[in-house]
Amino acid sequence: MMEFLLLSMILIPLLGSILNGLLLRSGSPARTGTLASTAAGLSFLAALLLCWNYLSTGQIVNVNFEWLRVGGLNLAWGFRFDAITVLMSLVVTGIGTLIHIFSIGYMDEEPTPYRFFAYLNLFLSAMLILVTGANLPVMFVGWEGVGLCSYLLIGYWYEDIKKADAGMKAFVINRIGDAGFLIGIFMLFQIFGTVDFESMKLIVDGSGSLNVRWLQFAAFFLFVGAMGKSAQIPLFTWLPDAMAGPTPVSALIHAATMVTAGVYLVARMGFLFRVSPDVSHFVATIGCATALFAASIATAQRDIKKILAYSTVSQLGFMFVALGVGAYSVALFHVMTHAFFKALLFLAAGTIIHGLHGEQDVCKMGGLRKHFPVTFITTSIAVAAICGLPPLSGFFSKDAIVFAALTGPYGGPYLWAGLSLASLLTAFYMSRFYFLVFFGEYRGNAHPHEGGWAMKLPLMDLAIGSAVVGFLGMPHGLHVLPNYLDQLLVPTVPGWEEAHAFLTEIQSMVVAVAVALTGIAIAAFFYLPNPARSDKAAPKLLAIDTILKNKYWVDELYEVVFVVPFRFLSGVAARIIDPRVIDAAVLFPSRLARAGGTLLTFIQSGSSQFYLWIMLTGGLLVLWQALKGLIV
Amino acid sequence: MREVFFMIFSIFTVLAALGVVVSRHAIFSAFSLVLAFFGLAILYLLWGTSFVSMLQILIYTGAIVVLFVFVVMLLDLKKEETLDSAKTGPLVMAGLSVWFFSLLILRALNRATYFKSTNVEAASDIKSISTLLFSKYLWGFEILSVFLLALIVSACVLARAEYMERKADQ
Amino acid sequence: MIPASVQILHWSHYVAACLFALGMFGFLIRKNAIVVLMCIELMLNAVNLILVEVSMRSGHPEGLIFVIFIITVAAAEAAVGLGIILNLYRAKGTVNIDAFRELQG
Repeated sequence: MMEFLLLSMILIPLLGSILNGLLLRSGSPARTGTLASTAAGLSFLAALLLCWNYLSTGQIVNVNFEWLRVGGLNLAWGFRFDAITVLMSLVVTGIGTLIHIFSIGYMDEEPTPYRFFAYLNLFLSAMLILVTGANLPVMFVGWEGVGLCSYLLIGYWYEDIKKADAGMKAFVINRIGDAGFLIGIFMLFQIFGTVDFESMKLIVDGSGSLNVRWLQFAAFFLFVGAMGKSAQIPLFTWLPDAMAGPTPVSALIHAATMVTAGVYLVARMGFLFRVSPDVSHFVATIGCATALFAASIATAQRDIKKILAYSTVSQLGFMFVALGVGAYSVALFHVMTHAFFKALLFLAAGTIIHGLHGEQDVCKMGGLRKHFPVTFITTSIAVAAICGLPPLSGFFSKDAIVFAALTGPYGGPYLWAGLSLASLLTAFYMSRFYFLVFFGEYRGNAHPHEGGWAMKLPLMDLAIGSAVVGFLGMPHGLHVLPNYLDQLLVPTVPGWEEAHAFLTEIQSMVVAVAVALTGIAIAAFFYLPNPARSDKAAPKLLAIDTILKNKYWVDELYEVVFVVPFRFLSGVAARIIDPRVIDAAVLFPSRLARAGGTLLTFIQSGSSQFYLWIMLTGGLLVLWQALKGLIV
Repeated sequence: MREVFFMIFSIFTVLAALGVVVSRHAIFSAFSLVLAFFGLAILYLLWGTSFVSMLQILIYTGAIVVLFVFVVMLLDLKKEETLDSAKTGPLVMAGLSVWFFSLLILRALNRATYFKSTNVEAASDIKSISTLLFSKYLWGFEILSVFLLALIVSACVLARAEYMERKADQ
Repeated sequence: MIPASVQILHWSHYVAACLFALGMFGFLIRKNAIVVLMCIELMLNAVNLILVEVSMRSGHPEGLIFVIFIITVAAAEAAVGLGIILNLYRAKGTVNIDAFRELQG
């Protein structure tokens, strides 16, 4: 029964995708969207039942089909529903369903909605394969599946060459990470002889005789894969460009679910990273650098979705710090809370863009709290959550990360300081976004209108979620509620003992709140009194402002360092290697065959007696061979 | 007596066959063919297979060669080629390879186990042959009859091709 | 009924070999399609002779059955072959097989 539920959870969205793609090609947004949302909702229902089953009986559901059996490799289509999957599948299907519903309203003027909803359902299915896969190759199938859907959905409006290019960019940069992921899988198979999570975990936990150096290499390459998918330095440039896709896509794929696949991967392989101190330090450092770097860029962006995109990159950095310091459950906690409030922010942005007929520049908004009351209230909750104001969800998860950065097994004061600064920047840019969009006078010339209930309902649901999911992971230090999440995850991810630090948990929280309030205050100081002057009121640190607006010229740097030499090499290959070497090598056999054929055409003279001659010769040879022993 | 008959008719048959190959005109070839078949029929008779001998006379000399003669006379073959028109090179080549070929076959036959068991006489009367034909080889016999029917039809079609074409044109 | 115990009859496969060789030789060098067909008949008859000899000397009458089959098929083959030659003649006014090279590759 549970196995059936697990499979239906994965396959129902796939079925929805197929139905939409094949049968509803001329359907209206309402029809196709309803079908897709129903599929997503059923999947969510299955996930709920599975969770209920897991929480009440503690029984892990396994499904296995044979896939490959080659040499020492015995690979199964294995799906597994355990603690991490409980968390991830609920987030994916729950938020996914809300975003499907939202999309019905958002895509109401699309000519080909079936395409959008088919991709969206396909994404849901692939993401579920990713989070339920019981071994690395199955996870990789899902991993590539979500990458494909991401590409398809970023380039959904493919008539616009820039948007199609953005999809291409996301795909290519993800490919770099995927190459690392694959190398990691190969190395792990070499080390363990299996790629099944549970078997690998047993081997790591059970024996001290493994070569830590090779484990570290494997962990490093897995992290390269995570870097690509979760947009960490240096592979983060695709995520801001990915905002070219429809906004619900940005909410679902590029904020709530797909980009957290890297975090999920590292948490899933936590037993491996836990025994790889060097790689863990590296992960934490990259995460911290990304958090700071992206947050600083976000402070100067004007495009509403770009702000949120850099914010996502920054928040993913937070999660990787948590992973790096060894606090895997905390990272997953933040994945969950972030999924709620960031999906909410994106959907709010979507509502606003939709209501302003495609306007994305925050400087041309303002005063929207009057026109978008529901959006305003829900966004307020999300902004407060991401800034880290108690008692909203973001406060608990972010505080847990900051505190873990200080006290985790691989943590330290530098990481703590870095994250605190990043929190300050986060509070600043989110408040800037908030004040510019909702306060002051309206500076654009569209006729703002809020969307229908299909768009409002998901916003409200997500707002409730953003407000309350934090209580699932209340820190031990408060002694208010037990940390349910830790209890749930402990059997699956490695736990950790808090090291002694110069701050206790309570003190750390106070500092965090103070930091958040400071950020909000600075933003309020610059933007609240006179948002009409908007960005002109920005800090007059012109040099820094220019740098930030241009995103540190990272794209340009990549252009010069990678793209230009690559183009040059491609040119060389196209002009010299292809015609002179490859074509020559390919054409040589064909020319040889042709020459041989020309040589042999004289046999085909058409004269039957000549054919008889040849036949006689052949017959003689055969007879001679057959009778040689008999005669001689 | 039998030795004499055998030698006479062997030489007769081979000479007649030579006549088929070297005659300048096809009609002489056809007549030589009749003689060769006749000689063969005598050889079969010497072997004691009178039934096969009768068939040889009836079918080959009676039917097939007559067909050949008809066709030769039907066609206007005034300036047909002769053996002389063939070049010496191919002639020698053909002779050599044919000689070699028959040599191989002969030596193989001489060593075949069937030839080792002499003095065993097979039943060659009509009764035993027909018993075999209608029991063990019944299927082959029946298939052959269908095959013959098909051949009759195809021969008709081929011979009346012109008539068929005209019909198709109309 | 003439008894087959006479040793000289055992030379008949040499006769057959001569017939076969002549038939094949003619097949190779003659240009008249009708004569070529006759040469085929010669080769078939050579085989018949060998079959008769084998059959009689080994005591298996099956050889004779095959001779009967071969005679039948040869008759049919001659009829069809001549039909084809007739059509070829209608097409080109000659039965020289070198004139028919349309199947050239």
